Amino acid sequence: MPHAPRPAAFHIHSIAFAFPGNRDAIALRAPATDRLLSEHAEWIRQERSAPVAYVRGARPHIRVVFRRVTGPAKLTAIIGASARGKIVGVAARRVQLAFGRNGLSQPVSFRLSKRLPSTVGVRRVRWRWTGEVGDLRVPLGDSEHEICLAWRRPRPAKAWAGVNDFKNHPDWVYAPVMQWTCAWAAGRKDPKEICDAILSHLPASGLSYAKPAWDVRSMLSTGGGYCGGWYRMFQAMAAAQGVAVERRSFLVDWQSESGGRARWCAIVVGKPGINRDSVAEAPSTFHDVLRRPVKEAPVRSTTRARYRFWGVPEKLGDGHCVNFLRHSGRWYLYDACFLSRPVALPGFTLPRSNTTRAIPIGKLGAFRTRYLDQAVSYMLGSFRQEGHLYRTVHPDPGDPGFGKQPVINGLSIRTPIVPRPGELISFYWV
Amino acid sequence: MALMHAVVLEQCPESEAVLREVALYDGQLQLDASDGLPHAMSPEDALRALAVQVLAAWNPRRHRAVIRTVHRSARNDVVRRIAEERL
Repeated sequence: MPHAPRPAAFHIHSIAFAFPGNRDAIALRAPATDRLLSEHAEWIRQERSAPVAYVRGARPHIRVVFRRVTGPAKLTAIIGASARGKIVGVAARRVQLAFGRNGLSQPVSFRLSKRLPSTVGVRRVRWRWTGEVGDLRVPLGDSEHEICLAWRRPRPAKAWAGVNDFKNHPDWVYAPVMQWTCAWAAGRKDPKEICDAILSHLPASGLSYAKPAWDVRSMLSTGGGYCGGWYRMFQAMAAAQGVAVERRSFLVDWQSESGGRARWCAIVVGKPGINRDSVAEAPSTFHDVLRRPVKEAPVRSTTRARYRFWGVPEKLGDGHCVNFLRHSGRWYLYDACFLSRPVALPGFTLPRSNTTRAIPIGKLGAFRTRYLDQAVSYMLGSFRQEGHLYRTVHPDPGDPGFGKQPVINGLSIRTPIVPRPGELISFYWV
Repeated sequence: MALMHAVVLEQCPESEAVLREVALYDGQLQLDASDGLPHAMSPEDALRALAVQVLAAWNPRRHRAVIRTVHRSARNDVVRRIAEERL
């Protein structure tokens, strides 16, 4: 008597989302390895479930591989996947599977049953896969996925990375950056709303100020960075959502004057910065001027930790780095390090990058009143006050204690009271 | 940074040689952060930026090749811009 054919038994093995040639998917990169998550199928049964990303409203294809357990090496089945509620599933289709010696089928293309949601966000889906083989309906297993939905297609990484290390693959996003920004910007509908949401949620990244990192990848591995990293990070976050923001450094313009005076030697910030309780610099003695008129005001000496963004005499030195968004005809400043809200800048025009000519602050609209006076606590220089020259030393090789002696702060004038007529605050914008 | 300031005080062949090496240095520095690290760029880039500025101020023709190399190879776009505008 002939044996009855054994029922087919197989299950889903892996699902690839951002496979080569799939233009719907957004390529995600792992910061630890700098490799694309899609080098392997993003979901592998009992092994891997990596996040995937699309532009909101996409209706993408995926590639699925099945594993044979028993039964014939070739079969025809109608396979699809459903999800609970209104969440998108996988459209069922008739497929012919051919299992190789390793038990795996060829990759089979499926399309989602409908468009992904049309709003920015992160969706977690559980798909229940089933197959109809002849008259039999067989369960093929469940798969779970984190799907990030971006506002628009991400902007090329070169904008925030400065260089393109992946010439064959210019469009990609670091996975945590995509996950964070899709969650933070959920439901937001325009570039300003998206940037505002990113800025206000930045502390949730866990990244902090003043870790030794100055680019996006090293910030992700170090757990934070200085402003030179943060303005790239903010630009990368906006770019992940397809939003273009500018970044600029305003660098201290240290001009030496007669009689040992100099303006300005550093900008001084007293806030610890994002996700920090204290300033990451050793305390030093400051000689503060807090009241107008500046020339007659008493000097208050105090020893405390403050950040000093040092200039270099007659050269470009250090400075602060921020982002700008132009929206509805107005510029907005985003300081990811020290502020949680954007600053509207009426009358401001973004300066062109120029390393040879500093720009007087009076030419920058409301930049000083709306931003600098609030964010930068003091302007540090070398000035004569109360008959004494408060000279800044950073570092002065002519000093006998050179190499041993700490840096010396000159006179730190509270930024809002720096006299306006002839104030001579200027920065290099790069 | 203190040593850099000492180097840039006097233009001489030795100082120029040090600055050229600094400009082309491709490694990482281990620095004491207690007096603060640069904010806008890494310590290596801060030194590179200063070296390029000083070399360009001293003798732009003689150091053109170094400045051009920095312009081509710098990963930091502020350093690249500083080099570009001094070529």
